[in-house]
Amino acid sequence: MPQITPHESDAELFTPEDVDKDFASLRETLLEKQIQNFVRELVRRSDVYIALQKLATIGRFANEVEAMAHAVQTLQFAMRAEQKA
Amino acid sequence: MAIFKSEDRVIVAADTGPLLSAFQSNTTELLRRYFSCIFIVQSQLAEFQKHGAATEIQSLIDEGLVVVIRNLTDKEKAEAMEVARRIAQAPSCHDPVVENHLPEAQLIVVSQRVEIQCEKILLDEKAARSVVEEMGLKISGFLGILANAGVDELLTKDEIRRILKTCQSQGTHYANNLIEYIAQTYGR
Repeated sequence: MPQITPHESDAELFTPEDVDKDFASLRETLLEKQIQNFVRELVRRSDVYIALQKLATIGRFANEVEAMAHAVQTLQFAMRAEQKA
Repeated sequence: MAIFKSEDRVIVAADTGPLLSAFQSNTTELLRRYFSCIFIVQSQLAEFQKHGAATEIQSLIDEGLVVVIRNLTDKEKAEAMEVARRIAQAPSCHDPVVENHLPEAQLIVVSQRVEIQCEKILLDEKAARSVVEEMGLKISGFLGILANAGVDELLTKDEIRRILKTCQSQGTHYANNLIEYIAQTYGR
């Protein structure tokens, strides 16, 4: 098989810092996409969306995001307690 | 470790270098793992031909993973010429011929089209990277892909070493201590 020759003549100039930056940059984009998909999937569920809106209008939380954050933290706390019991 | 599902894959525009490295090291599976679509521009096809990877790129085009953007507007062509000029003038650039930087410059420009929803530019050429960073665009490269694959437990330390040594043996001059750093830091 014929050899594939490289495009970059300056690969020796790459530093560990470059690699760390490239890793973090791609990681951030992948995580952002994962979170976007998660949120999209979640709010597609009308029962969840309506519950969030109701929670937000009670006045206990600033908005739907705060209500969701509190709900997740409460769930996590409850599950930890359940595991200990 | 984050568990990424297939719908979490991102859309990127890739310069020739990162794809050649994937071909050299037979790691195109990682491209499929992380990217739902990889845009390139037509002028890159000649580069793949020149570097002996015409068959490999055509295979990814046929598969639908790589999409070739064939037509640039006059405005995009003018912008690409300006970006190519900046790359040629960058301190780390070894090639002062502006036209030789047109493929990556065109890719950088078309990656900004709203309709293609490009989330990242893959670019391994130091001079072009410095220009893209000045433009405030998000970049990564072949080494960033390998590092992520290591953290996602898709590659062991030894596999990372083997992949980069394979690229090295085919002429990509990664420093030995850099290869060791990546293997140790990111490998499973």
